[in-house]
Amino acid sequence: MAPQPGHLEIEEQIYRAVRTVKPSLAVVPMSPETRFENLGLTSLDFITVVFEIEDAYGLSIVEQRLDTFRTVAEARDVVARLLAAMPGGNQHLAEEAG
Amino acid sequence: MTRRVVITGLGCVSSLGVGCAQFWCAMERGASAIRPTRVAQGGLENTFPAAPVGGYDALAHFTADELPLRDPFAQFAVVAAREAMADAGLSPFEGDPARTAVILGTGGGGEHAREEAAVRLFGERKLRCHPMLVPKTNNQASVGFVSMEFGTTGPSFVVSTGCAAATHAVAQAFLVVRHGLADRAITGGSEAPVMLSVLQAFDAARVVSHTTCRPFSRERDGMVIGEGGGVVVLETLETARARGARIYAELLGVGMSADARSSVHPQEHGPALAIATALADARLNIDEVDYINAHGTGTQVNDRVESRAIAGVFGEHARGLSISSTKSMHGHTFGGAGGMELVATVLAMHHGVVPPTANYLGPDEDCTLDYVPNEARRRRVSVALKESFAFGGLNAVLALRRDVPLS
Repeated sequence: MAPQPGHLEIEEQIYRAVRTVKPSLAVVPMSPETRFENLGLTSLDFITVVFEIEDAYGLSIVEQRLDTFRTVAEARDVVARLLAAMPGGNQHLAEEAG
Repeated sequence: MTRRVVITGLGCVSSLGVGCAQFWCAMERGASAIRPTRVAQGGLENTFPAAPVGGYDALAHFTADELPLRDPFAQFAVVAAREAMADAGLSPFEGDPARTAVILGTGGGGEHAREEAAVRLFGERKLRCHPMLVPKTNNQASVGFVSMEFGTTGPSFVVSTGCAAATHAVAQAFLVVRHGLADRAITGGSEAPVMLSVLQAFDAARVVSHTTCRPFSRERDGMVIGEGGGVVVLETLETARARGARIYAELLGVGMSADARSSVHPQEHGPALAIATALADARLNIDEVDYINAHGTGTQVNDRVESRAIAGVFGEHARGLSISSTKSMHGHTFGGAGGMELVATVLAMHHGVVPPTANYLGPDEDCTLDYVPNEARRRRVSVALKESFAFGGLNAVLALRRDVPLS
């Protein structure tokens, strides 16, 4: 099933976060199945990617110990779940995330 | 173990350009890079005379992936170190990595990252800090990146004594090589303080000029902040000769002292003690010295005190010295200044040309020595001193000789 627009937007934000931290990845195609460990990120780079995603959405992923995702899709689902849990959160996104 | 120590490589990034050639050519012309510079952060801005690094494209020196972790001061250190190592004929690296030291100076370290973090934390009220903030602001980041650049594993540390940091760093590197802890050292310093918070802070201390930097001159009204880095390669005379390296000069001795009096008001006795100690360590007579590359910040008090200290140590010979402050051309780069000015001093010896004190308007009653006003001067420089003094009353002086006799 094709992802809903909400999912696409979050995925794009994750790609942007990765490319902010490692600009050379601008030329590397990424998809929801992309595994972060295959992007050549150092541990500090990965922490910074999480920070950039948190910053974009005003979330706290680290404090909830949810920064263990391995793929873009897993990261997307975590973000969607956290967004939905925020006051006034988007239940639609939560349902998408299952 | 006591060995003789020589300088075999020079590197520099400054407001006069990237590389020693641009640095020296501008100074030979007496050209000053100081210009009105707008600095802005967090919705605030101001304009000061300053000397930011000119013609520098970070992406010409680093990949886009490397830049997020490298604050400008660390970039300048690496770029200057690359030039110095290539100049010494050591790039690609050769020799024993464990016998090569990296000892650099900086006053503030990664100030740009620190300022941006303050805006985010206190201005935007965002509690979460950027994960790279700590390694980026660390004063020792420059040393770490230079060691990684060449794979050196010998003694490596940063010296942070403000405006004297690079000269103190070179003094430590000299002692490390002289006493056998390493055979070679990459040393000097770097700084990138042309930014709003730093300029406002120094302006508040009433030490920043609102015109230009005119050291030792009448109508001088303060320092002008610049940025950049200066790095040299030190090695034992024995290893330099064994590999047929070009030897610019011998670093003969160092002198260090404290005024022990005031945080901000320099005293004559401290600098005089550092000069005298350097001369004694170098086993030089006062009448052998030709040139002093002065601390010469352009503040009323520094230039008066420095002139008196020189006059006090050298007596009658003080009038025979050529003294200049190249800060008049590249600005005051704090923890980078001693490295850049050591490069200037060595090139003065190498070319037989004393760089001038630019922006000089005429004699001041407190500064009555020969400051080489405005125009470079042809003069054989056999022996030179490099002086640096810092807030806190902390002083460091290097003594160099151009010719390296066999015994």
